[in-house]
Amino acid sequence: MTTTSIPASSERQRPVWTIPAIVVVVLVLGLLAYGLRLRGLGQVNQAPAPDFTLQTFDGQMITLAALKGKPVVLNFWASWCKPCEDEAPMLEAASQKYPGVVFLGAAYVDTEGASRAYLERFKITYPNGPDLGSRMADAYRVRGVPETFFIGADGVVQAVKVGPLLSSNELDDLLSKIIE
Amino acid sequence: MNRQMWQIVIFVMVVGFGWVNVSRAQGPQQVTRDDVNVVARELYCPTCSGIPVSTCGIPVCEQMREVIAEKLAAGESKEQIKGYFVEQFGQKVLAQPDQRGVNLVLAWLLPGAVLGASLLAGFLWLRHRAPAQLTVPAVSTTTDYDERLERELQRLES
Repeated sequence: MTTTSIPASSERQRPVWTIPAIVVVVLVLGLLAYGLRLRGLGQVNQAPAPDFTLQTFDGQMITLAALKGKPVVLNFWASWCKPCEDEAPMLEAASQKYPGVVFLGAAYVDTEGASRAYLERFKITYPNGPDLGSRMADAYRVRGVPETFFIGADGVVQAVKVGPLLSSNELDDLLSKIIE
Repeated sequence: MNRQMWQIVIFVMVVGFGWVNVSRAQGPQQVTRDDVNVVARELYCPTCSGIPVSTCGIPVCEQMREVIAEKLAAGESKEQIKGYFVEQFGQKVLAQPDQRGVNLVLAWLLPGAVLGASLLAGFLWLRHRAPAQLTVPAVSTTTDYDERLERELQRLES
């Protein structure tokens, strides 16, 4: 059996729909790549500590930039976090033991009343404030609480403890990395 | 409307306005769980994903519901309470992203643009696609059957 080809049109035109289709694909792929990049970023460690402004519960404004030249311990905690309760007395004791180190606490996703009650309960005296809008936690890429950053006098994160500090010896070891 | 009618209307308005103000000033309002859930449904758990505060059982959600109840009792509106939680915990607590700034672009305009571009691409593809080369069988002038019939007739005649 023979076949006959019938030309459908005189000349094949360049499809008009390709441009919006390419735009859609590029946008979707771009968003996916951005999301994957953000997810892939690890914790901030051995890198300059992101600057922040912490407004403490007693109204004090503290910026990391203003603390340059001093070692800083930045602890992320929450009143609803049980492991945070275990390390709270240790951190308070260390803040008394090492007056040359600036201890700061950032309440992560916590309500103000509960945060204040927690600080009172554990008699925390070093500056603490809410991490408003989770901006600090986002900048430090905190995955959960507790998480503690040990920032050297040069403003570089020297060590990170993910999860609760297990003993005062462990805390001393970590502090030795930022105390000259 | 005569003067007496106007006086009555003004009297009713003044009394009504006064009653509303008195009722507002009567201290903390009674807040039910349903009232709390109306707000809590529009907020998401900030430490877990995809769970509204109204149904979430973890401590932070319980704290949030308590704060919502306190704020409702203090006379704050739903929008004010949502704004408070955004300020405290960030945009991630909102069930629907805010329609301002970067969120307006990323969460509202961009998906709309992608959807619009997809529809446009689909429409243009349907409208402008070049019809495929049509391949049709050539029409045979003689078929096998005709040839066979012819042969048979010739055989009978001979």
